[in-house]
Amino acid sequence: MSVEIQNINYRIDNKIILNDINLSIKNNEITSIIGPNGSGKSSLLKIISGDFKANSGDIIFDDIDIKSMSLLTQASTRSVMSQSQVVVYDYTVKDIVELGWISNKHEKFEQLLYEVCKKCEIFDLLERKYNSLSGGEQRNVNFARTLFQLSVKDTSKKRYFFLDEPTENLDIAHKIKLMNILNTVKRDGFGILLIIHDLNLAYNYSDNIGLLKEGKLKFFGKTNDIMTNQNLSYIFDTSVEVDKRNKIIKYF
Amino acid sequence: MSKKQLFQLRFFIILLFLIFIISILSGSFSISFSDFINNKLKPLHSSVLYEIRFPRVILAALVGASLSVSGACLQGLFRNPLADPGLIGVSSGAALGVASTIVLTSGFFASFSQYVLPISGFIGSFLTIILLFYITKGFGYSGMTYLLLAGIAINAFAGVGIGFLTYLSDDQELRSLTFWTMGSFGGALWDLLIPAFFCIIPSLIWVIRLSKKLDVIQLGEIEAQRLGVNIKKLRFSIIMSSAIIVGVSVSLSGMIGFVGLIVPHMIRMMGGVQHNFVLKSSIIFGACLMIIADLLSRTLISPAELPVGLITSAIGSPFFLWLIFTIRKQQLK
Repeated sequence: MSVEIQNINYRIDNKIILNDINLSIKNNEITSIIGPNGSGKSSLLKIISGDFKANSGDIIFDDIDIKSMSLLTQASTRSVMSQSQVVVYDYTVKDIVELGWISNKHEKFEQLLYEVCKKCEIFDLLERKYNSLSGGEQRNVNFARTLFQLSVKDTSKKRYFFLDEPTENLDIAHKIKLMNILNTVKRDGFGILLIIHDLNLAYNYSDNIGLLKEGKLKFFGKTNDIMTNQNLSYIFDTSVEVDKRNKIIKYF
Repeated sequence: MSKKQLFQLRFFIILLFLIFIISILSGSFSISFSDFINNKLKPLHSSVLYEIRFPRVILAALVGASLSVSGACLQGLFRNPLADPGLIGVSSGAALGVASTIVLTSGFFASFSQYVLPISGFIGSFLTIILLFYITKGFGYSGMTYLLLAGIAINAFAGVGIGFLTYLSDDQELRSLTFWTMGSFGGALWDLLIPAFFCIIPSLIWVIRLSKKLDVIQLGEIEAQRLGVNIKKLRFSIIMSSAIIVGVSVSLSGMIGFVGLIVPHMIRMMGGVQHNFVLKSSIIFGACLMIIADLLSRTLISPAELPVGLITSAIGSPFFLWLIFTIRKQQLK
């Protein structure tokens, strides 16, 4: 089971943003997309999420074309975490997390909410106002909300989790924590797509990596095959050194 | 809804009931409570009560509920705490629609004006919201200044239109126009109330059913769509129902400012921001507030009357200033 992205082309006013992208996001795997600023990473994520329509190409969720899925079916198949979240009114953290729940409430609602909040370590924040939290805390809350969106009862269905730079602005301990949670989520059967800037995190946590440059997916495959000095240096136009033994990437 | 919110909502309902009783019994001549309860009213008293006071107070409640809930809906939909049907020009759009019908059709529809006027009010407010939508490129939090400035422009334009229509009108039209633009519940009759009831009550129920979606849209339109909310449909429903309730209210009572702005904010401060609570409480509390405002308007300088819009504006404008300052503080933070 997987999400297949086939021959995606996307233009804004004749400027080519994405050029013939093909990749697949498999269940039980973390797939990361790496690339310099403006290479089209976020646009790609938005197209796969169904926010924008591509000019051509198909996105297939487990043999079903995204075009034939209703908004609610999409919402129960995949969730998307964006970079930041502005909320105008004073909602509590609990309100925000609960918004992720898209179906009717049932008896397991509170229990699932409890599990998600425990997993994301936001239990102490639940009664606080979302707007009074720090940026990092807000990010954790949004992470919990997007995770909660996929906690729907029907576990037979495969589910996907797309994240746009989830570790940005987090301290190192929280980065590791978040990646570890993603790892457990992955083992629960989710397919995960990650847009990420931190090369070391991508290297150590991803199963597959795609390298994007100028709207083209230049390389895509198993992490170990893709993360080479040559590939990374070419993508970023700067010298990058991959230490395969210690699993560290040096770029200065 | 939490227990505290449920308690508050029940409290508002009891409050509404009490205010209703007080309001129908008091006025330029008062009716004693024991006579009313024991059904010992003199014929004159009972006709004042049932033909004048009852429709008037019910109309005040209906308009108060309408303006408050449409304020709450617009503030929610546009994620903009300053959206108020009066402030952003929706009410004056409705007023221009009604005034045009009164003057330009010059009594052509007179025999069924209780249906024609609400419809023209609705068309006016609907067109205004559509216009605002295009001017501010889809509203949005960052476009708050635009929204208010566009509101000023629309208010000014509607003012010109109404002024021009006043100039065109003959004596008879002028009478009904002036009477109506001042904003008053004085003209309330059962005949006028019935069509209003059938427009406003279903719209209120319609928007209450959208409250979960209004919560979700607080995360942003794209996020809401990712959570399965059809944004276009939601936007259409809210705009349509707000236009109906504001248009009909304005057609019945003229322009009454600030209620739609302050009531939802008071509710949020008292009990929380979840729309299920905010919408329901705004309906009840808005009705309470408007009945009180109307009661003041007809008792303060009794036997004469003050326009009720004067009273709501007197309470609302300082609150509006306060709101602007707190919002600025939040943005600086």
